[in-house]
Amino acid sequence: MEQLFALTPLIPVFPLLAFALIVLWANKNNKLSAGLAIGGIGLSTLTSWAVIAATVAAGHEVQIAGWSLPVPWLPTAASIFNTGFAVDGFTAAMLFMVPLVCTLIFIYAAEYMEGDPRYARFFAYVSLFAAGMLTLIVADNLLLLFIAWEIMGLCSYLLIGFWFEKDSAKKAGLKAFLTTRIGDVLLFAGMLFLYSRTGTLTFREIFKPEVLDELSRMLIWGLPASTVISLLVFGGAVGKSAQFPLHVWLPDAMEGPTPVSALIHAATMVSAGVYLVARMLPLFAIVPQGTLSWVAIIGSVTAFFGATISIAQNDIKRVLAYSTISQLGYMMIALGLGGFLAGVFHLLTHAFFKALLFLGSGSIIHAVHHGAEHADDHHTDPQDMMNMGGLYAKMKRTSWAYFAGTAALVGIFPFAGFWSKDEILAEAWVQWHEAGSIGLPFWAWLAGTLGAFLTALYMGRQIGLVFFGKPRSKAAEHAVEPGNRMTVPLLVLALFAAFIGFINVPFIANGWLHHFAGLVHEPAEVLHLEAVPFQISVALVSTAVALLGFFLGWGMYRNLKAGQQDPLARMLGPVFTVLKNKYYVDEFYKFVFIDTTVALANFSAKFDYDWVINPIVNFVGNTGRLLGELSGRIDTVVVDGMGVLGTARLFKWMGRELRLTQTGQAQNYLLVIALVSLSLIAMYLFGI
Amino acid sequence: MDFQVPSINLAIIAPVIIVLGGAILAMIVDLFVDKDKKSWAAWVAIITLLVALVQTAGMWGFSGGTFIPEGGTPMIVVDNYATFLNITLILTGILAVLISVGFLQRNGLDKPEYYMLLLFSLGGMMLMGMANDLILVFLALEVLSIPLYILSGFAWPRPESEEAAMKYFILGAFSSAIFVFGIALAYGATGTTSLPGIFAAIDVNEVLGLTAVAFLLVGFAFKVAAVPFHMWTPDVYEGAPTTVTAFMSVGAKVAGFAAMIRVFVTALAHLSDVWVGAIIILATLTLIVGNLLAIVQTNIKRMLAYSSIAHAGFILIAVAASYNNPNGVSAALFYMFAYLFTNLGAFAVVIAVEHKQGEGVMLDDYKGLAARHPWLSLAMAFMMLSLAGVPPTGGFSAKFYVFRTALESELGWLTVLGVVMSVVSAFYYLRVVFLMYMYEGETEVVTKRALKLGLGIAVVATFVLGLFPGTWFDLASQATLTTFQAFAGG
Repeated sequence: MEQLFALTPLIPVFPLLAFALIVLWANKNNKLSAGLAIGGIGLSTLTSWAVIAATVAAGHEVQIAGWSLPVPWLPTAASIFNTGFAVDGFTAAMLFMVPLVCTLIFIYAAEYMEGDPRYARFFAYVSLFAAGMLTLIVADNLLLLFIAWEIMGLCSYLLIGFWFEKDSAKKAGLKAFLTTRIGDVLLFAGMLFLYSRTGTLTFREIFKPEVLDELSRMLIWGLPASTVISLLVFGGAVGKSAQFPLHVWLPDAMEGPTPVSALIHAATMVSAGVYLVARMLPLFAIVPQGTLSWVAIIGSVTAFFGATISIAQNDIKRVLAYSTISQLGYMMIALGLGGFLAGVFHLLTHAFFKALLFLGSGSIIHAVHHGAEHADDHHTDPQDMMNMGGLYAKMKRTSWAYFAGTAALVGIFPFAGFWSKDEILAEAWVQWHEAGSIGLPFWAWLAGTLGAFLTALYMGRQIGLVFFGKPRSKAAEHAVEPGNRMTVPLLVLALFAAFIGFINVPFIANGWLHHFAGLVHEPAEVLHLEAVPFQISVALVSTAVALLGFFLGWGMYRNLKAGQQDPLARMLGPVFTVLKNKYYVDEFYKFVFIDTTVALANFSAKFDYDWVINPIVNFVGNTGRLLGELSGRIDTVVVDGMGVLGTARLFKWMGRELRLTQTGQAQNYLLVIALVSLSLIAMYLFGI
Repeated sequence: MDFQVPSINLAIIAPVIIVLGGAILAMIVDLFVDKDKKSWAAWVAIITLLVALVQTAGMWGFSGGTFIPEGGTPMIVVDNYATFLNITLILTGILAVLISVGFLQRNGLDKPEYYMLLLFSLGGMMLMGMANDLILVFLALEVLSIPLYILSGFAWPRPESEEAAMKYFILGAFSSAIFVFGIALAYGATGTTSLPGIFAAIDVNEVLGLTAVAFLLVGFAFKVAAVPFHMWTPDVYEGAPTTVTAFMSVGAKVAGFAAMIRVFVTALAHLSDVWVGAIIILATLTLIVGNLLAIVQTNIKRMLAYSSIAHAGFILIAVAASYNNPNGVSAALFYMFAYLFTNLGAFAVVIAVEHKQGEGVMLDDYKGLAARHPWLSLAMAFMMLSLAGVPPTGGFSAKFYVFRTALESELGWLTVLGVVMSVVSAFYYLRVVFLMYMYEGETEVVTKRALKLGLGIAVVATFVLGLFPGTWFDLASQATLTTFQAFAGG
């Protein structure tokens, strides 16, 4: 079994190969391209399973200490920079989720993207994307992780702007790229600090107790180095995982094709940020009350705030987008409270059910779009939930899969989300009660519980609007279930959404995942690696709010008629408008950052052209010109006559003579050789 | 008369025997083969070279000498230095044959003699690195040169080719004469021609010895085309068939440096203060003149001729650095190894574009190549970047090591000049890329499988040398370890 670990570096290679083959060779052939992409990620999945099997079989030691393959890479002056690959329990858990979800998404996309003029290119991009994510997971050091991170940044730009004929898609791609770039720069700065202070970027090296200790005692700008570095690293994660305040790119990223949304927002890109924080957690935790509290605060704010926006959106994918932001907030809460495994567990379950929901929404959009074409209607927006309704009768498979995903997201017993969300809330609950006062854990618990209520509310609203009642448009009336290649992945994901939670149920093997992946970090004061005991009160409260929210939403919206006012809008009034406009964050950014930048640029331009620089230049220029005219007179008379023309003649003469050396006459060449030889001898003999 | 048979161990010169044997075998086979079937000679040459390559690679790590006269030192030695150079030269031969086949066929030059002469010349080149006696250096020099004279005139009755051969011959003979004169003076000064003997006997203040240094230097400088002994280069390179130009631009240069480094760094180690000054002057002139004149050329063969002069300048920096630093020798070896792939790769494209002899050799013929031959152009662009020394190419690594050793040897301003001149060189190399990608044109291009294979090898090797230079530089360091450490240190 141990030899199977040697397969690890191959995992990202297959999709990379698929990418290269599609770009260089297969791009004219759509079927072949899709086949290559699916084959590539499929092989990665199988390889990952082999590696996971090896990890399970090799026992506790390997799951914790890990297997690694260092590769000496860049020899620099005094040391060699090692890169390489590593597998431990945490990696293995990620390796189960990422390639599998990607494979299902690819299969789904093979049907969904049919008829697109850039079909092959799509599969090239997603393959590269998957390769990036897989590299990120198996990397044993920050630099390789960062390279993969940037590859994903590029791919997200290309894929979100995939339909670049649409102006909005083009802008969304740019926005995603630039926003995440802010995080990337912070992360890179963190890496630079880390490397300059420790001389290594390999995880195992950084997490050695003496190195961590050193980092916590060293100061940067008056703060412990570990705090500064981990804050910078967290900045990277905030960008990539769309946490407040860098969340703005994610909803716009819905402009990409739906499989891309599923890929970016479930399995790959946003998970990368959470993965990074989870991986670097010992660095975060070495100084208590340091960065971790910020992680928890940002997480709580994001979890609540994302959920509130979500209830006021009408675009089916945007609801899910804000839901993703909110759920990522939960993961950050868990990590911020030191509950390493709670965060990782939610990351895994969320990937499955959110991929399911996105693909399900894609299936719905696909159906409504076809319905609209059937009814010869080109004005209905196939993504607007107000144009749907009554789809349950028309698409049974999608509906049931979607229900499973919803149950998981809302946290209904015994679906996956119930277990993972509950663990996060339990973590907060236990810490609140241990502290005995109202502090960060209480607020985190409150934000999480309120968020759970809102989550249930917007999902109930969505289910009611989409599947029940009467169709509110011609397009919805003519909607038809898509083919097997789209529905089968949905059903597979639905199974996982239902049952994946059982890998970490507290009653079975005391939380199996805990023993498999939970102990990869050294214990520290604020790091809780053991499972929290099951909290029945937390479970009851969250189930109660979930059911309440869901049926509230479902009841209000299930019989909504076309053209009727949104019931929540009636109830909440101006608050709803604020939510609908996402708290005006985009407008605020535009006003504060973009407009200021433009204004500054305009000011600088004016400063240059009209006010200061150009006048000075012109003044100097004019003075120079006057002087020039004066000296020109002198020149023509004095210098030209004697100096310039004389020099020019000299150079011309030299040039002619020099060209004469290359006469093509062998005897001249001989003469040169002879003369030079003689001068050389003269040089030696007479010491010239 | 008392004649003593020197002690002979043929195993030591096996690589040379294989190469020369292949040539002789081809001569014999030629008598029995149909005159119409001509390509067989290329096969014989390739197989011979592959066998020689395997044999030579197997000799890595071995050192020994042969042709030992009574009470003397061996006239031929094999050490890692010689083996490294032999591998470099054999690879040069293989690539040269690969890129020759199609060109010779379409220009009616496809005679078996071509490959025989190439092998003979290669044998001479290999001896240059193994020679441990000035007499043998001279012998090797002639063995390598005479077939090259003939090859330069191989395209007769084209007057350009004949002219090239004639010029090369006259000038080569003249410089050989000076070289022999140098040997004679060295003998006069020390009473021996063996390199260890000279090392032991030479006197720093001896006038004859100093004169000998000057004359030997002239002989070598001519072979490696250092300014001001470069004047034959553009004329010969332009006139000779392009495949011959490709072969000699690498082979003759490597061979020249091979003997030059061994003679100067070992035998004349005590005179290092004397020769290093002259070599610095040569390097300076070579860098400046080679690069500046390359800029104004309009014919790509002439441009590459000046470019090869310029590269000799960079290698001369490394040679100058080796007067007190064994790494200088390693840097020179690595430079030549990288240069072999890059330059022959560039020539492969030039040969492909020269669809008919003498046509398609102007820079303007490269206009718009990228639109119709994207892969060929990409390869050419890559080679040009490598020649200019842009990472991640072998050319970059090679320059990096040369500059590093030059700095270690405190040749500061020479390094600065080298860097400045590589910037200047980017101008004329990138112009080729610019012409290929930014213009429209309709040059015909002929690529045969053999040429593609040769070009492919060159591209991959250049890339590998750019990405993982460390491994190969280690080998080059090992090549200098035993032979030069002792001398250069002292």
